[in-house]
Amino acid sequence: MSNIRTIITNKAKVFGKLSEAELKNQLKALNYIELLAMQTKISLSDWDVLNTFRAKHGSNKLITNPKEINKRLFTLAEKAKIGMQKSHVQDVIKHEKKILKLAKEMFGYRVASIQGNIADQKRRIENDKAAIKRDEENATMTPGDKAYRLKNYTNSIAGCEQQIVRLEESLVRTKEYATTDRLVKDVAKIVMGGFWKFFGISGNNLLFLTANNIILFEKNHRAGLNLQKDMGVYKVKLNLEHMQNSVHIFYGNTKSGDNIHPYVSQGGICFGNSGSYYNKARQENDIVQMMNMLSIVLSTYSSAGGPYRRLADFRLDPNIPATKEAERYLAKKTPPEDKRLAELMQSVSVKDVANKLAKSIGPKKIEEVDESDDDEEEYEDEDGYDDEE
Amino acid sequence: MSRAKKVTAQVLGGEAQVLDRCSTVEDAFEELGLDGSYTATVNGEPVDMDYELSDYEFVCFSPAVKGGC
Repeated sequence: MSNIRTIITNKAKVFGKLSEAELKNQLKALNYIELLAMQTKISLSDWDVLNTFRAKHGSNKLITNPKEINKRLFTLAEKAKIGMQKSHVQDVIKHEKKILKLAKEMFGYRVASIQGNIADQKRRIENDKAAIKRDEENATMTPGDKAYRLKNYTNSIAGCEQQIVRLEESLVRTKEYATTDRLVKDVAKIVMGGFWKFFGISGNNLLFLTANNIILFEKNHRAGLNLQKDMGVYKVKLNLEHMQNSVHIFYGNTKSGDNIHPYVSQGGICFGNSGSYYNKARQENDIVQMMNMLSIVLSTYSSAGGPYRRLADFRLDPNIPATKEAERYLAKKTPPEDKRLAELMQSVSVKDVANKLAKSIGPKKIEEVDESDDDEEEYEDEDGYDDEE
Repeated sequence: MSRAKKVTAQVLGGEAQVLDRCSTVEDAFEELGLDGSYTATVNGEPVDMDYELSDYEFVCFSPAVKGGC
């Protein structure tokens, strides 16, 4: 089977004798197929690319017309989509018990903390209202002073009320995470989108991989720029204690100095002008939105946006070998289907909104977690990054 | 200006939609109900909003990310 990496590595053997111009066109077609798959979240890892995009029967050349490539990819992707989603959700099911256990640990204590914060905000509102009343009764205070103070107290009350709304939304989700299988469903929702695969758990972290190689490009024909780089597959940690993402290498990664991505520095991500939205998602414990925003930052590049490093400076680093965890992951076989797979697939269609989900399924109460998980494969996080970062 | 058929359009990170009533990239932008600052590519190449679409093209809108890191 010829996947994209195989074709590029063995291009002379695959394509046979071609002129420089013809080879350039073939590689351009491959680059476009890779970019298109990444942008549309279609995983090509199991596709026979040469066969799928063959120019004609018996030929070893690929079609090069982008519109023809679009037609074939979208037609076949529609058929492959369900299979891809099943495969991704199976990875989640394999770790379901551990996810539930982690959810109970991480979110159980947080419910009390959020309830405490809500009570604090309510006390502040009561204090401000009492202060307003005292000012009204204060005969010695000038009207100007009263009006000024009233405005400040009113703004403070409004701020506290907004904070209470956000905290109460966060409380609903946190309670669900702590007491139902909501976290499992949200992880399934994340992977059914197609951009991410679930990789396992390490400490307080949920681990994800990008389902495809990340392709970044910088094109400006007027400026003579035509740059496309394969950044490789990344591993992402979602730390549930701090509600924070970090990005790490997995395989096929490029580097520029110590940076593994234009917007990543020492694992931390620069969200730029979308940082406030990411922080809002963090505060609301909305892991689906956090991972969605991260997928956009990882797959977008603009030199005008002030990256840590320019895309042009990134090179494939031969000193980043495929790690043992990567080799093990690539060799793993897909587990068989089961009833839980069908249930999660039905319950977490990416087009469903939370309301429909609640009506059709309802939260499943978690039972006491079975501490002995002999059937589950133990995963060791090998990259040596500090889980406390 | 004729309308292109079977144009696949999406916002990066969102779900792709097939559109049948677009003449330009701007039409696709409006069909997707977008608002705000986005850059557009057609078949992987950056284009302006007045780019005229033809059948089976792929339009991708990316949010204009940034602010220095």
